[in-house]
Amino acid sequence: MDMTGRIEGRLQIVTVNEPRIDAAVAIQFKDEMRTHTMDGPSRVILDVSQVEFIDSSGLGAIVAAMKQLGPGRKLDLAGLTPAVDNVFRLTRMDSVFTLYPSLDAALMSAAG
Amino acid sequence: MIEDCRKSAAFRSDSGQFAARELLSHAVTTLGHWNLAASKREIIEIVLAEALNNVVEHAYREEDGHPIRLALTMQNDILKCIITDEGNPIPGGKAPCGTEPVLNVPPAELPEGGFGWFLIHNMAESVHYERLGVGNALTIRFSVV
Repeated sequence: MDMTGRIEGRLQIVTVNEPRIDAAVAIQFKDEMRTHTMDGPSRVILDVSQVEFIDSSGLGAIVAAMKQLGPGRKLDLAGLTPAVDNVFRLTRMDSVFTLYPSLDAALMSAAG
Repeated sequence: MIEDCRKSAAFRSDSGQFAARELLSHAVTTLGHWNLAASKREIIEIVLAEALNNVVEHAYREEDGHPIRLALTMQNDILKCIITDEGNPIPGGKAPCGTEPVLNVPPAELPEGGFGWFLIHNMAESVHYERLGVGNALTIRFSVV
């Protein structure tokens, strides 16, 4: 699964370069997240602006990725497309994660 | 004379890592040809994804190479989707009702699954499960007005 990580200031940014986070790639997603967030900043932003589709397995994988960060670290999401946003709201996961409309908005919140 | 505006399509794939993706891709393309709005197609794609993932994970217990069929019929603004497989029955003989995920728990205890049936029931008009001989049939209806 194509994902890239970079550090910007005090933020770890992980970008999903794929159109889907679904059952077919849920395990790979968790593994990639573990690799990219093994150490580094305590706040992680997951950039999902290229993701057009997520199912409950993908959602579960994001929850698992948040848990594997451990206490004291935080996972936020940025750039949710309408279909992804819909699944987060229906399952009320929007109450668990901080969601930003774009990566810029997430970066701005960290700078402010 | 009443115009017959019934449309139908059917697809088949074998269970495996990419079976759901393959069937969903066919379904979404077909629904586009039938002029369904993108917002409707998104909802239908998520519901069908959850149902197809259940077939791969539960009915076939992640075993590859077993048939999964998806039939779509649209008539009078109702889209009927029938998913059939030859796998294990749903325990209890009926489709789980799908309760809302419990999220007011410590982060370490947040659920990583169990959202599937909740999404299906919330986004579809109706859901009906039947055990037919050696297989399962799940019929899901959507209003597409």
